[in-house]
Amino acid sequence: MSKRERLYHLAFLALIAAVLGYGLVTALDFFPGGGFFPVTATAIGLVCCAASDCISCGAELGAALDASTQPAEFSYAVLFFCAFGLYIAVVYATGFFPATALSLLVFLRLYARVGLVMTVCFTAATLGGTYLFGILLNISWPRGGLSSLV
Amino acid sequence: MLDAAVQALFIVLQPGHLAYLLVGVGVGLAVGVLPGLGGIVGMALLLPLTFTMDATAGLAMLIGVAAVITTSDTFVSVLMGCLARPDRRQPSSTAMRWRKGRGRLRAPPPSCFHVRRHHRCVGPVPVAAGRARAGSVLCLARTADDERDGSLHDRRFVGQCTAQGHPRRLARPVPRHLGRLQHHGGIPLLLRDGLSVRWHSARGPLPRPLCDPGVSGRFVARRIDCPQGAFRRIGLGRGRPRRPSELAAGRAPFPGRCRCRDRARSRRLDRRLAQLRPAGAHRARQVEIRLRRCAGCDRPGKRQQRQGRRRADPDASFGVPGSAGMALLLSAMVVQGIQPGPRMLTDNLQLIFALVWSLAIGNVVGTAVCFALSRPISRLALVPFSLLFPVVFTLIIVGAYQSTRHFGDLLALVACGMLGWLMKRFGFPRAPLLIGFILSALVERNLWITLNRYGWDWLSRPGVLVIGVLTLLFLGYGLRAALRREKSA
Repeated sequence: MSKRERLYHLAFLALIAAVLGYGLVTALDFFPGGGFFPVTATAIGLVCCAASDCISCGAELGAALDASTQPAEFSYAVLFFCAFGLYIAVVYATGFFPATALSLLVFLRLYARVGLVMTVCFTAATLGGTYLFGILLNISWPRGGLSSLV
Repeated sequence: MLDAAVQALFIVLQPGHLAYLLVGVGVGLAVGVLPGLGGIVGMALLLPLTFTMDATAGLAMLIGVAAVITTSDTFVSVLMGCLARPDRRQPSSTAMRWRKGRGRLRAPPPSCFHVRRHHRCVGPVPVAAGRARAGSVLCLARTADDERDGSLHDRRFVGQCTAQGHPRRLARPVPRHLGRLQHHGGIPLLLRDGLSVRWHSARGPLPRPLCDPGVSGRFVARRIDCPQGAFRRIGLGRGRPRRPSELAAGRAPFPGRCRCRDRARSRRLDRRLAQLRPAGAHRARQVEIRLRRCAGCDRPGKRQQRQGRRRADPDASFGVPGSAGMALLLSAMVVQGIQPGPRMLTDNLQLIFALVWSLAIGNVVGTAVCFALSRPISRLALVPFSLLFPVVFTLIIVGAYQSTRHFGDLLALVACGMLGWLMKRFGFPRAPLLIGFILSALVERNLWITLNRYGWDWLSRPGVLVIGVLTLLFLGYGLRAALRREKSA
């Protein structure tokens, strides 16, 4: 494991430990019976975090357990999650169908470099299928501000 | 009990129930054969939809998906040589090997014949997937490599190499040091299934068997070489060294056996691999892991389907999920107000039988559908990721929103996605987190009841002590095994 990998690994463990520590501190304020399980679980989690770092069980052994895992680029992951966050913001503003149509058009046209006709066809087919699927199973969609106005 | 079984059968055979079961089978196959997704994802997608459905119908739909998880994942594994899902072991190396001259598979699952027949159709996959499929890009090539020491003279491989990460990375060689296993010229790309894969740059015409007319562009699999005698030397027992395919055929009737459970075999493999472990110890270790997995564990067949069928009942009866799929099924039960546990055998015996019947019918229907549609399904390998993404993306969003129908669900989806990606990135297994998430509510509730009933005296009760000691023993054994593996690596 390189130094940078080690650093990332430690940062991830620190993040997990911070979340568990927050949970532990919060659970300490619970009444005695109710706080037993969260306190125990978070404490064990913290111990496991420390042990994982100490015996290097996290990175290399974990990679052996999940051998299909390959390092992916952080930048693409960050880009993807930012795009996902932007999509949710657009859903919040306009609703599910407009936002999904927009995102699919952008993805197919700009990222996947699919032709315009195919892009429109696939977007329409996907949204149409989803709409029919929703009618059949009586499911609801995220309604944004624009949908509420309409 | 017989009455309950008969009544459950009549319930399962009701048109509405049967229709939902068939929908589950169809969705399980449709999503499961999509590379990179797998049947578990299909189950996860359908899970929120069952919240608003009748309990029996919703569970029937999920059972339908669960019944074809093994089948649908096998299609992806065999057809494309990639993992259908992260926790899936790789059967393709052994399953897709041919014997020269005889032209037949050593351990032929039915769909392999289609691979053999349509391998030229599957060939363009790397080109199509190389541009769009960010998860896994594979290239398929055949080679009849007359290894310099003659150890590979009698076999042909349908080999595959996979490049992870963004496809642009394929445009340049991936720098990897593979130790002595890389002894030919060329660009080392990646180690997979014991194959030391080299990506040869285009230097003149290729040998005819290696040319695939359907493949063009940058990502042409030029040649796949194998480590010198790697498969040959990793034989077991006395006499002629055996190949991993033979091991797979011999060990396939024992599903679930893994490398840790056969110590003698593990030691023999260690000795064999010691010959292959000079400088690149870590890579040799990867070879070992791959080979042990493909040699012993995973050739999905009837036994595994039977095992999956058997596994559902203990899961429901004891309330402890044995796999991610069963965890999803148990969570659906909890949402529907059905408490998994031993009382199901008395309170909901009819439902138990309904699950059993649903699994049986789902398996039969799934098998029939697979036989009927194996040819068109094999053509799905040609669909690029860019065209799969819209469907998958939309289903994920819709499915995630159905739990509480609040925008917080979408934010939770992003957060869980980030957590999952980070865990995958840093090598933490994700299935235990899911199982723990499902079990935590049960544990907390029962712990609360126990504390109220017995106070802290429950810690001194004999049963608790025995279970606690066993838990500690298992934990210690796991840690010891982990430390040993770490030490040997």
